[in-house]
Amino acid sequence: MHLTRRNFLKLSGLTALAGVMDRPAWMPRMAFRPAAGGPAGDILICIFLRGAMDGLNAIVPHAETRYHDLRPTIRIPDPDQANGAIDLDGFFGLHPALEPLKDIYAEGDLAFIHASGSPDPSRSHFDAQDFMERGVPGNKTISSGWLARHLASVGTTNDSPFRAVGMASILQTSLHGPVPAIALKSIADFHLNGNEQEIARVQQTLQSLYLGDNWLDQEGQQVFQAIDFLAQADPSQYEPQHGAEYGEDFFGLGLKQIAQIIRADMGLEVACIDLGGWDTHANQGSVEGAMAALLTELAAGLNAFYTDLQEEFHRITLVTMSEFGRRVQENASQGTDHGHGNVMFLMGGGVNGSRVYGDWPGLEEENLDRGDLAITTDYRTVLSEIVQKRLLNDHLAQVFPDFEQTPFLSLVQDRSPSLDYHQFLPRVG
Amino acid sequence: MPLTRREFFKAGGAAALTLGIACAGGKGTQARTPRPVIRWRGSAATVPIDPELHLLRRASFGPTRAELARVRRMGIEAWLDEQLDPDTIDDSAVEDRIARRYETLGMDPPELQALDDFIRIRRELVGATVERAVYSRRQLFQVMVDYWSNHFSVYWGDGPVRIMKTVEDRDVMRTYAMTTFRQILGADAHSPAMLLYLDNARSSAEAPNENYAREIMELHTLGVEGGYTEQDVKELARILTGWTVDRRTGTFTFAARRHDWEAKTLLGRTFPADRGLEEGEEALDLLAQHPSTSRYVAHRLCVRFVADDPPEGVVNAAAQTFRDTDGNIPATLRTIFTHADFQASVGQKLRRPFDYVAAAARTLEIPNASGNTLARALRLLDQSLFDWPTPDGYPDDAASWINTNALLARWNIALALAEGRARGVSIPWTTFRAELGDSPTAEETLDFFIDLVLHHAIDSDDRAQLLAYLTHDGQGFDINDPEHARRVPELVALLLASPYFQWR
Repeated sequence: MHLTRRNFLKLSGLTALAGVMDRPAWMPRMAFRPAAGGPAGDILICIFLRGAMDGLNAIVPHAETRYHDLRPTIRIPDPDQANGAIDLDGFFGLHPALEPLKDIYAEGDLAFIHASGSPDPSRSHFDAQDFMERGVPGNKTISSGWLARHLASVGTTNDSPFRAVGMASILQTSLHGPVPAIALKSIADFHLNGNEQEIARVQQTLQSLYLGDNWLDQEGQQVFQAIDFLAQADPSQYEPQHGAEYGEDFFGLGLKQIAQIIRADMGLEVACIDLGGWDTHANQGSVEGAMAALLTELAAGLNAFYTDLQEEFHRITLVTMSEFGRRVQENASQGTDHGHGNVMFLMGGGVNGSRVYGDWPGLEEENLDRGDLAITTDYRTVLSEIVQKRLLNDHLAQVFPDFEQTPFLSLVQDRSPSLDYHQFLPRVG
Repeated sequence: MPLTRREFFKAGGAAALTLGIACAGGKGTQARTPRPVIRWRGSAATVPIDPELHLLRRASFGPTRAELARVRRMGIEAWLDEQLDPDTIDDSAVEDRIARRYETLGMDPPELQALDDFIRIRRELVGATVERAVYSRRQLFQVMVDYWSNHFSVYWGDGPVRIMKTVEDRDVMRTYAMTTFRQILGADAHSPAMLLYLDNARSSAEAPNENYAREIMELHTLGVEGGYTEQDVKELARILTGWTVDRRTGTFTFAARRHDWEAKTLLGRTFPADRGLEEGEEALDLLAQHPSTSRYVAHRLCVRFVADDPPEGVVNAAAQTFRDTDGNIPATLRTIFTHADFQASVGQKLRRPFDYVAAAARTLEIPNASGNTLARALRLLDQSLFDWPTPDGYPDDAASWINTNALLARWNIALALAEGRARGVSIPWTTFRAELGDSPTAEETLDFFIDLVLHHAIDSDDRAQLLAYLTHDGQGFDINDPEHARRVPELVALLLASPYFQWR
């Protein structure tokens, strides 16, 4: 029998309690838990697809004739044709390279929000990414990132230095702000390397040089905190479970390490990871080719993460975004130029999945926004619903200032605070 | 009584802390100043006010004892005069050595193609670039070559750029780094590396590709807020159709049959029909002379040389010089380096990875360091040369690349260098040992290396910590005892890893 997450939970009898009360043999003992408890709500994984993913060739509107007309060489064939899209709902289909997501979608843990994105008209990658990550399209005066503002405004007692992690050598802009975040590339290499007889003293001395109140010194103190914390929690001991296979690419390894941090119970609330290279102006390919290779990497990573963490997924929400979409009409270089509307992926135990959300604007000339897919769902509407219902933060006006909220799309279930099992357990001693 | 760094923070640093809190907490969303400036006030306490040292930290790849003595002797004005006119500086020692060792640097595209060894092509270009940064006497020139390589950034990993970057580095960056902005802009627009990287080479009247046209205006000239529209992007793309690369020679060519000969309108100016290459040149003239360009380039230079969020005064002055001199690069630089805002900007820049690695090799007076070994350190810091995939170049503001991962990597690089674990990069310990005399005390040893690495005195608490390390908490230090002597490389690593050495 194919073991899906829900089946697994059914088999083990209880939902959230299962892992805690009857620890299966494969589940390592928890080595460490932050003193002040973990996140209030879900752990959020934010994936930024840098370079502007072509949403129309990822989640394909195969029932649109115009889609096929405007993309003669790069279109994905219809579902009933060879190498065709994998139909989702009779209208949209998955790019064949996203096949590893098919079961997660069917299982109800994956949804898509099409014709979504940032309303700012900028077609500059840098501006659009920056606006999107700061959560304030068009506004250049607010310097902090939306995730940092969420971390600052959510009610929490979590004081772990690992509340926010960017799996990157450059910390994502969305994490820039008042709450310190860790930029981490490799857990295994995160320590000082030097002459063994001297290294302890060297580390102690170096730490004493980074005691100032300025930004650099604070950053330095954070490194020492992180080194200590990683040494205690030792997330590397957690191997992928359930046969999950992460790729050796940076994206796969990054997700694997996020999974390890989650298993090590280090108080993680938000993790960011990027997958870049989507700027397919030329030779984008169709069923195969440059974009298909990226989709393969994306799908393999998401599938491994989902498989690995199936018993944790009740407290995980994962969302993807990209700075803008790509033009509906392919260009003469068998690629696509900068466009507007795109698609977001939303995955998690609390997701109302198996659906493609969004008010589809259509691809007829009069429906387009200057030749591009129009945006009918502001990406902040999606994120706001996650922030409120899954991350349990009601301060949406602080997370997304100058955004006038519109009704949620019922993308996710309200996360019940009663998942805290402590209240069900008798007091002992 | 001199204020120690910690006392400084107790007193004056309080202001910085208050600002930090004001931007945190519930009102964080209303913070109006860019983040790094808020958070690192107080750094001036770790970096002394010393105009010559300040100049060398900013306008070169890092001070050395010899260069600092030289600029003190000749004066800032004279040093700038010399550096802004690099052809007058004899650099044959380093250039001859590089020409001997790195043959591919002089090759033309067909030769490079025939070589069919892009690993070697890259190794030689990167090795030479690092060695020039470390050893060239034309320090400001090398700094500007690096600046323009990021201003007009191409990504080495992008197909044919693997070959063409070598040509571009030689024929664009090193040929025009100290000329006028219009000249380097024009040379770049004729550069196969750029035309291939941003797809203009494949653009045609039937299928114009907007990529390069957009980035010229957004990243090279006007800046994203410089007052152009999406329509201007499309028009400039049409104007530049036909600017491509000759398949046979691998050099620039204008392909008349790919060009769009219809009329266009760019930034309000009409470009009449039936004009070929010359309308592209006219468009570049228009962009180079546009007031937005003077401000954009001046601002970007000031971000490199003054502060991550540079004061209006120096930006305006540099933009004015830029306009007055038709974009003369040395004149614009002179305005920046002699401006009061520059003098006042001590402690407001951090060393980028390339600055950090080159400055370490320079200050430790390492002879004949292997450029490629040092380049591997840059890879650990995620700023391998010519390896930034997007056309905006490596970011110049520290907040973009100082983080936990990057700081730890710097410390580990310091340890690897000092402990002699970097092949082909040897610290001249024997020379230093001789300079120290027969049996220097712990304090003499410490002060010698503080001066060697940092060129200035440090906070007394920090000095005490380093002394405690050297003597293992007062147990003593005898440099002639091998057990003790192995602490010396660690001391050098600590200095390179300290906050002091991160400031530029």
